[in-house]
Amino acid sequence: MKCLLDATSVKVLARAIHCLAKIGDELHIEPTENGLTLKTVNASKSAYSAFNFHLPFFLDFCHISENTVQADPDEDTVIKCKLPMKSILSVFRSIGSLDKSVETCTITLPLLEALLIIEFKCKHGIVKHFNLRYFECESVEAEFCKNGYASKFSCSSRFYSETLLSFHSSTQEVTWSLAMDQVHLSNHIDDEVDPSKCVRTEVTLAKDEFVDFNVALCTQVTFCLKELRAILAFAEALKLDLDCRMEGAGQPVLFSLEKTDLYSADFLLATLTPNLDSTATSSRTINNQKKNDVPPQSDVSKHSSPVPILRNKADSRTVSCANLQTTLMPNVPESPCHTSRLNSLSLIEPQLFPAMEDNLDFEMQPPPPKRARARYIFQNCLKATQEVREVSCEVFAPDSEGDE
Amino acid sequence: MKFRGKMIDPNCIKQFIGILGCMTKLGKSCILRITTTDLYFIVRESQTISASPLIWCALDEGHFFSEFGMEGLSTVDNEIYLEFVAENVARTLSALKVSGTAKSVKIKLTKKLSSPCLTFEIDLPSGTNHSRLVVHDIPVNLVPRRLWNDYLEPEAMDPDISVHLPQLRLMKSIVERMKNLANMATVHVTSEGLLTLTVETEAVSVTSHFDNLHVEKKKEEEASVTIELKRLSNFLGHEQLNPQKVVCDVLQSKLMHLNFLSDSYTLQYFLPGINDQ
Repeated sequence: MKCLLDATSVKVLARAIHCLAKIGDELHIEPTENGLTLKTVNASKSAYSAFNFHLPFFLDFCHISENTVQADPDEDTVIKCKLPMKSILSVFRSIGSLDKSVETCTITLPLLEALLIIEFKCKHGIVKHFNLRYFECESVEAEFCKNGYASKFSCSSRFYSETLLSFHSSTQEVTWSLAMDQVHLSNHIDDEVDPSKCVRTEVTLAKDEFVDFNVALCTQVTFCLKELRAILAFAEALKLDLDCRMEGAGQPVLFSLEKTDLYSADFLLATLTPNLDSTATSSRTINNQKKNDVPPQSDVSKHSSPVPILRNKADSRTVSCANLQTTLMPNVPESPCHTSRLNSLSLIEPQLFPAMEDNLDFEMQPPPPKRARARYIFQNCLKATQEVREVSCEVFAPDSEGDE
Repeated sequence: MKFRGKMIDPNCIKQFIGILGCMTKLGKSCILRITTTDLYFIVRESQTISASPLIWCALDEGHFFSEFGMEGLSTVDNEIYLEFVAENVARTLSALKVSGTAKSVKIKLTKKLSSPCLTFEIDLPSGTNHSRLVVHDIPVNLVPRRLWNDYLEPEAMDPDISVHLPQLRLMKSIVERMKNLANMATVHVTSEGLLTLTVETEAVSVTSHFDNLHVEKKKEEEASVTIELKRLSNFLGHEQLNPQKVVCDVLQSKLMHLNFLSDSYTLQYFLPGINDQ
């Protein structure tokens, strides 16, 4: 992959990275024929976000890494990778100074060097060069379809942030109640907190306040504000409208924004599962226990219903294609884990080491490469051959306890 | 018990929020006393040396509220005392302050989810001609009748000397600087209208003089009191309340009493003197 950006695009890219950094810890970079995709998933897998930068966004774009070794331009020369958010954030740290100094920016993923190279050409002939290490891996995918949502409304990002101002900054989750002619927001109060001790805030937004309002299903969804605030920070800086699509309680909400031709972004946020009737939840927990009792090392594909859906590298592509074509509705199963209230998203995730799946714990994925490295380095220590061998040597100081 | 009041005048709303904000910054919990004519905010800190309340603020209901209705505990004790956590209100107000101009603010005593609440219904303008309703339910505790006596109006005291304070902003900046030198300062007033503020440390002694102050009342030729600078500076931070005048009463070695006077409200601040000897 090789691309060239001008100063304004760099600023947008930097803002996008800042936004993603507030959501997840790892940045997935995926060059395609139609542009560059940056993605992240948060640690609890409750928020997935993807920025798509289209070709007109770049001055020059080539998704295939230059290949000097192999002759045939194979599909494999498109490098998809992920890297820690911290490292890329350090490059785009200050949006203000980027804006002032950078004239053009080149981002390359050369095949030979295995580095993500970012080069800023700044004013006064200064060139800044960043080499970032990455992990090569398939990118994550979330299964969703924009047309499958019952309710959709959109308005300016300014409008959303003004609304959220009414809530205290410590508010973590907000419940959105959709009605035919209004949206009602209230802060979600945890079961653990005494309701008679906390402030309840409610905001009512009339239909007229929205740019576009189309609610087909009256419902109530609750989700975290943290990610929404990150999205708003991006959208507000660029004065974009934000579309919101909702389905129902427990099913993810989709926020999306678009700048015609240049870029678009989608944010899929998991919502809380409502505990409306106790019987349903209890039966579900029993189911879960059963599922959890299944030995984790059994075939991964058996776990298709509980979240997260994990597929190894080999079959992930075919399955994801099939899902995208067949499922119109966002396909998120019921929460399998009764300890976490927030649903996880159904994601197709890459595995770093598909061959190691036989004895890997199901929960532990992908194995941190550090540990793998450690295992390799210390493998001699763990081998049986390391057993203390009787080495015949002269005893200078005999064991004083030994002689009776 | 019932209470509801509606404010529509932007100035009143601003002033009300300012006063409430001041209360919430000065104490952890705050008492709201509602009578048929006035609204009182009382902040009482347990560590107060004297028995009197630390802050006593009375608001004229007629000035602030365009609509007002209340029904007290009984016809004999036609009053309501309630207690709220200051931080909860401060949160609500911070949001209101940012959004700026509210069209109207309704305050009601409600019972939601089995606990009494002070409900703020704020009508915010949105866009060109829309409005948006924001409702905050702040949980409160009702103060039982037997504890009402703890929050009685402080008795009018007889000051040794009473003077009008100079511009609060000026005083505030000086007090802020003195705060860095020492914890305590001595306030000294004379019947000629001279107020001095003295800080003494081992290394330095600083005195600032404010003269030609209007003397309202004098019983003695001079009086002085040692007070805690932090508390004075906390209170002077509220100069934006824009009182018409601020009267400072000094009771020799016992008390410094600051009184914000305005048409619509009075705010009294009691600073107990410290006996350092």
